[in-house]
Amino acid sequence: MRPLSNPSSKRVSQQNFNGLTVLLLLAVLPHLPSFPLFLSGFCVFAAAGFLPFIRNNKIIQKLFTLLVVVALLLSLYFSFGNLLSGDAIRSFFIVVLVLKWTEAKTRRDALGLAFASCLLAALGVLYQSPFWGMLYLFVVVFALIVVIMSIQQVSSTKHRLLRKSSRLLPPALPIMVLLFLIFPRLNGPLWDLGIALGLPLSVMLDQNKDQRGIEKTLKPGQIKRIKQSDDTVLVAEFLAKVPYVSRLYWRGPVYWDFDGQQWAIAKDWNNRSKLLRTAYKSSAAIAQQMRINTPATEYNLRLLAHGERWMYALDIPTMTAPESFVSADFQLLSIRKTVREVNMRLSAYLDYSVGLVLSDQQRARALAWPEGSNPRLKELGLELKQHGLNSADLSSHVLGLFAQGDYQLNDNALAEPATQSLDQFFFDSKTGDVQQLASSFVMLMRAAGIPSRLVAGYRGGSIIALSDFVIVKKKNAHVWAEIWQTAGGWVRVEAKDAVVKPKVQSGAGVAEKPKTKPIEKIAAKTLDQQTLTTAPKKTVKQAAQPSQEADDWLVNWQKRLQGVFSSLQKWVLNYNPQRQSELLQTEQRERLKVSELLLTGLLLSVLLAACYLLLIFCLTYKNKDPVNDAFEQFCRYYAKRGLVRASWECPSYYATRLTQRFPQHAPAISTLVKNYLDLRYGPTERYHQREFVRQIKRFLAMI
Amino acid sequence: MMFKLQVRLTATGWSFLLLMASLLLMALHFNNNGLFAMCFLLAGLLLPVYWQSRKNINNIGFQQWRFDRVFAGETLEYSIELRELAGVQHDEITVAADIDADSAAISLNAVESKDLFIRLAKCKRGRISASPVSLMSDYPLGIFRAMISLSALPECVVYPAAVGQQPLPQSDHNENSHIKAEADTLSAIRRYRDGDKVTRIAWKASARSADLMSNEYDGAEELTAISLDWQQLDCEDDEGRLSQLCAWVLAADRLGLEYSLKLPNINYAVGMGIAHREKCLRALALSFLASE
Repeated sequence: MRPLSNPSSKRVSQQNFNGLTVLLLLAVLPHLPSFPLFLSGFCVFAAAGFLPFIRNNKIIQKLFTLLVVVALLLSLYFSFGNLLSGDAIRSFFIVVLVLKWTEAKTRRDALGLAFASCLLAALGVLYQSPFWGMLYLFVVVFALIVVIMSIQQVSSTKHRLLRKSSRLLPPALPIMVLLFLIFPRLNGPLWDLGIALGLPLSVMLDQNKDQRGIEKTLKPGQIKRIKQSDDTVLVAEFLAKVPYVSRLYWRGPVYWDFDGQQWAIAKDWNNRSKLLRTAYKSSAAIAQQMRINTPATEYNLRLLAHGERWMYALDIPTMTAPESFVSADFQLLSIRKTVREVNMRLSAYLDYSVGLVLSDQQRARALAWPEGSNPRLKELGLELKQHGLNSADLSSHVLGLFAQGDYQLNDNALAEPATQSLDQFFFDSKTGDVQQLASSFVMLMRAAGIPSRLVAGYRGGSIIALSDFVIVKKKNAHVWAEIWQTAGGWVRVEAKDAVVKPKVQSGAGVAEKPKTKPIEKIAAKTLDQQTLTTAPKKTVKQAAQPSQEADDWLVNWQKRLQGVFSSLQKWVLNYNPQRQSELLQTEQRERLKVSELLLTGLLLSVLLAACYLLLIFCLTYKNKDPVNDAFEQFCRYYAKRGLVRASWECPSYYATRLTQRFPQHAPAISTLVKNYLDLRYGPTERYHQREFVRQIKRFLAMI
Repeated sequence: MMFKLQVRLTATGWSFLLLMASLLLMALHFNNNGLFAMCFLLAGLLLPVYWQSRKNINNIGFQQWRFDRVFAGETLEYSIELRELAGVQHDEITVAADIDADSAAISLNAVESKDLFIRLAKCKRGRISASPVSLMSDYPLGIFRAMISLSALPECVVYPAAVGQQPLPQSDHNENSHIKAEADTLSAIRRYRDGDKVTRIAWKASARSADLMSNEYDGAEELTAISLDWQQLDCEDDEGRLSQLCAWVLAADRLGLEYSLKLPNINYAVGMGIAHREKCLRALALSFLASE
């Protein structure tokens, strides 16, 4: 069956049109700032199609549309260069919507336009701050409801439309909150998920071939350049708990040689037979080299092709995989270059002190200082050497220098290839990238007589929510230092953490805290001292401010408002997968599983449904007549005893039937039925109603 | 017939879901909480909208469909009285059926009765068969369509258009009329026959016997009835003849004459009154139709 409707009701009325115009303007609004000016002109030009002589003539309208689209495509091509770029598509979308607006005549057009405007508004939110974005979207949703409602209802007035639309929203809010909190959150972008699940997306996403990864030489600023890319390097699936991502170091080339500007690995490094000669071929051989015992972390590695030999296994690999070996520098290397995607199962010691002996030749290489480069750094190193500290104390001292020296990591800082670049970074600018930071650390340690080297690779990655996958991208590129301890064995030193406090990860799924090695402990101490010296000042400042304020009331309110805003920030604007698992689990032993999430969701939905049902019941219950209710109770009593009152049966007739059967009840029955008839059909007051209900109750209790 | 209330998703509803899905994908892709909130708000809206669309169509009482007699080319208008029972307002109620007709949506205020119309414009001669009809509403957002069955549209016969230039034929002496010119004296009481005047019914005599009796007066002269004959017409086409006959039937009825109707396959004897007229009109309406 199809609806029978008036032909006229298929057309859009003027009132609907006004609403639609408002919605479209609302949707275009957030795009305007990021919009080239000529496109705004285009919108106005396209809007000219609304003029009656164009709008009412089909041929002129078609020509006009064609003209606008062709002109638009041309100008987009010349201004963006590529018609398929995101901005070009967005601009095209906006102008097309405006064109559609000019020719929309039927309800269907109007509905489509309203939905499309919603999508446009949603796109616009990406260019706004979270708070305003969210507020804006609420306005958009409200406008959408009003517009759809006005399209559906031809007869309603503006006032009634607004009232009805605002009535729809409140019952929707609890559902929104519930879904917001429990809907499984994934960390976008979506194709990460596809890559993690093994879809051949990396091929489709055409990675930038000209952007090169980590190479055999590390030129100044190279890591910074790699970091700008968003390409995926590898995906790891952890078989047990996922460690803190900040502890994941994906080991690439190990650089020994520094020429004052760039780091390099040995020239004949790529010689396979030589590599194999010094390689560790069994996990037992690697285990022998370990100086401390730590549990191994197992994972599956899926490495995308990058054309080099190293396989970016997690630092330090405990074993080899087919067609690969662990080199003397403890990297997992492939027998041939990785030109194809590789899958393997690996494990790693996340904390290590590795290597039993350091040959004289190696020691010399790890202490080498290029002639004439960075003299001030060398001088400082020599000065430190005179203190006679062991490697651990020395490195923590240097880290302390970094921590206290107000160094800043800034990937936008220019790294000019200069011979004294490290001097300049360490003493003058104090601003640079992670490569300069790690290099200056390594060189300072070398000058102080501690053998050290630089390792490049990737650090961290992003956990794909609700899974044990970690996806590592080129933007995770990193370099770090390794020093040879006085007692022997290479250990990793992270200079970056001294400068930038590592982010506190909550609920990322690790129960035990990582065992901090002695070096890091001392470094942490220096860090603590530093914060101790600076922190009190701040608190004093903060404490002083409120006391100066005369108006306590205002301060209280400010504080309260701040509280509201911070919780808004925490629970709404910055809500994320971590927060979600925090919310839904009291114990943070394990990461949230999809099944648990679904179960919680189901429970909460049932609870919510029960609330709604209760609400509906309460609302409808109020409408029931207490007198009728009581009389029905009375009838039910006798119905159980075989005298059912028929629906057509008059109460007085029913009463006579009752008295015939139960003569002992006769006086009560006649009084009650008389009262009932009085209340139903005579003039009544509320007082009598309650009295009647009480009478019925008393009667039923007595018999 | 099924009286159950049905709610289903409309095309608008599907596009609404599509909008939600694309918002969800965008939200997941860009990790934007604003988009999540928007998507879930839209999802949350589905529940109150669903509830309201049910409520909007429920608790409406209705009578049977009514319609007036209709001639070809005219507009057939069915109407049904809807009664609001729940004490709430109902908006944008209309009907759905499998016929080619239009109808305007109505709104019912609390405890109000109102007529809902279905109009079939430019009806063709013949039978319009009975068809099931549902009360439906897309209120409030057009996402859900709630439907509940109404009483079915009754069968309706569209009579030929009552047009024609030919004058009413003269009385035919072969046909005897029941109507007689009145005289003074009552001659006999006989059994009632079709076409006898109501004023002639002998009520007392009827009360004594099981049958209805009529008075017969003495000296009454029989009037001759007119014969409406297909063969008498000088029209060429069948429709024109039927239209002429229809006009004659109506005219004769108006003048209070008795008439007989002769069609090629039907021969109705002389008679008069509403039943006779309807019988004749019906025969005219259904003659020469492929479907009959």
